[in-house]
Amino acid sequence: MINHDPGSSPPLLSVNKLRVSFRVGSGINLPVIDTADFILEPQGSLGLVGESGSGKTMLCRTLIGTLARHGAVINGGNITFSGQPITNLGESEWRKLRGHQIGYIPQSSMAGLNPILTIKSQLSEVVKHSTGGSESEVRREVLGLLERVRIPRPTAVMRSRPHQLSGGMRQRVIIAAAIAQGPKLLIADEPTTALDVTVQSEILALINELREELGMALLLVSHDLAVIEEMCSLMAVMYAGATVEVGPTENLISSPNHPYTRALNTSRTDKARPGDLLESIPGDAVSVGHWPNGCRFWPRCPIADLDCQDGLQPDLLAIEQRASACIHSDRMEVTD
Amino acid sequence: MNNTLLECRDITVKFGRGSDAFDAVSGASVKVGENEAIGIVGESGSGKTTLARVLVGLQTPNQGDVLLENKSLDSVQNSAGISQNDRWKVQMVFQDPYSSLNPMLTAKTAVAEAIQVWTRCSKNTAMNEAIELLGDVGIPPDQASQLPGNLSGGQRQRVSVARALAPKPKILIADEPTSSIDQSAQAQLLNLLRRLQEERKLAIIFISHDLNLIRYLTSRVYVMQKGDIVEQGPTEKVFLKPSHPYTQTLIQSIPGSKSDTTKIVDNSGV
Repeated sequence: MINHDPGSSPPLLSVNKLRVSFRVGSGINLPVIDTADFILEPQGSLGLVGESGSGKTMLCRTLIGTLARHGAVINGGNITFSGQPITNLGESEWRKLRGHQIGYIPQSSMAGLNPILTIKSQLSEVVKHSTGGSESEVRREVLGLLERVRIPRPTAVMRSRPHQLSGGMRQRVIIAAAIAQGPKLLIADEPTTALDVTVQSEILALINELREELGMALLLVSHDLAVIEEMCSLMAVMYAGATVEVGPTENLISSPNHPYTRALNTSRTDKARPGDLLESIPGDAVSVGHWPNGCRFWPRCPIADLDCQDGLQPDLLAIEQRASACIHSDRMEVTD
Repeated sequence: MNNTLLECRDITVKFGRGSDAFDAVSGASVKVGENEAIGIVGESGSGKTTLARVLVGLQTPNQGDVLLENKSLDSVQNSAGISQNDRWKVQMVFQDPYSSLNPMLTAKTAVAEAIQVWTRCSKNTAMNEAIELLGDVGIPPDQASQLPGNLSGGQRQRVSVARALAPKPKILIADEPTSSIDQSAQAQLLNLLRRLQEERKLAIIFISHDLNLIRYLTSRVYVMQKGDIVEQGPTEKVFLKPSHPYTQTLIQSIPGSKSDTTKIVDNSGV
């Protein structure tokens, strides 16, 4: 577990030894997260990286209480939000939290919006819950929201339907809905994956501005280390359902303590010199249901030995501000 | 640049009719030499995929010529019969390996099919060659017998590369080859493409919105915006000293370019 200074106020979000499994038939469980461990302070920012199938999206679903819709359950560990346990909340309790305290930006802006409703009617639904006010009040709120996410010509956009907007504009509408009730935590699952690079940089800048304005913490899921580097002071790396390294982004990138973190970093094209061979990770990411014994990364790891191949996935071992699940992290050479 | 292998001149492609008509590509000219790696960058809608489709012969341009080894691809196109023309020399690796492979064909059958189309050899010969070709792109025989559904995104994309290599082409056009696969698989694929370029003396045209990838892989680059090529030149030079404002915006937008992101002007329309 990562150290949290006991003298200070409770962390905003604390995920402890979290285990999540898919329900497959009666009693048979297929683990998809085992285990996730990290802490996010109020107004902090944490980037969650990992390849597809590593459990990033399932972790987001856990944190917005929608696991059941995807046929999964929490079967170990606990989560606290603002000091309160939220591991076993029911749907009615989640409704008070989701949107109000925890905002969520999904991966695809098209999937997050109803294609046949106007932007106004979709955002009205979100603000109605909080204002409960008259038509004109709701309209004013919606207009205010669109202005807050810097949408040009907001009155025209209110009348539009999602397909009439560009991908970047749709993502702004999604963000408007996510921040409508001033959440303390914004969870963004690959918010810019489908967007062009210039639009991506606008959306990321917008998220940063809103964080500052509203004092929101950010949990950003991305497979792009450059994005995490720019947006998040902390980083958690997931591999095959486990957080394998957690700590300040800068440190994890400059001197990783887990071979997987190191490999993610050395296979980046933005850090490679033209002409150099990229250091790729041999083999393919292991999929859910096919995790090996021992450290799940050992079949692809350059420093693995027999000690790595037995038993369970090693726990995170904390050293000062950071933690690694590699039992041989002392053998990691400093990159560059 | 070495001898020009493939060239297109003043290509214009129009889509739509009447008041909806627009030029997806307007007056674009691109060249690629033997064994050269070039890049075409731009945002979605800039016309880069349409231009790639013109280069490979999947899209007939409204204006302009495509010359393969100084012969018009157009004139060849009109004489019927696939085997008579030189189209095989230009092959394409598509963006999405999930939709570009037939889900009902095993990896080796998919590659063998491509080999048979181009060489008209026996099924057995084609199958053996397919297994060899798949081995070369890092797909071992046991995976070669799998359906695409049982392969990872990276593996599928390597199968697509093997399929494109079937007729022993001189030019490979890779349209966003890594956009739908994981980072570690991405590095494997990029290393593979570079090795193939060297070993097979291939020319490669990379189409991408990923500027880092283009910078890493190519020696010359064309920057497209709204159907126009707005800038071209040696890749390093374009990256270090972009002259067109659009190229400058693109380069500033690269995450980690440490530019002040808040300063970027909102130029995305509704």
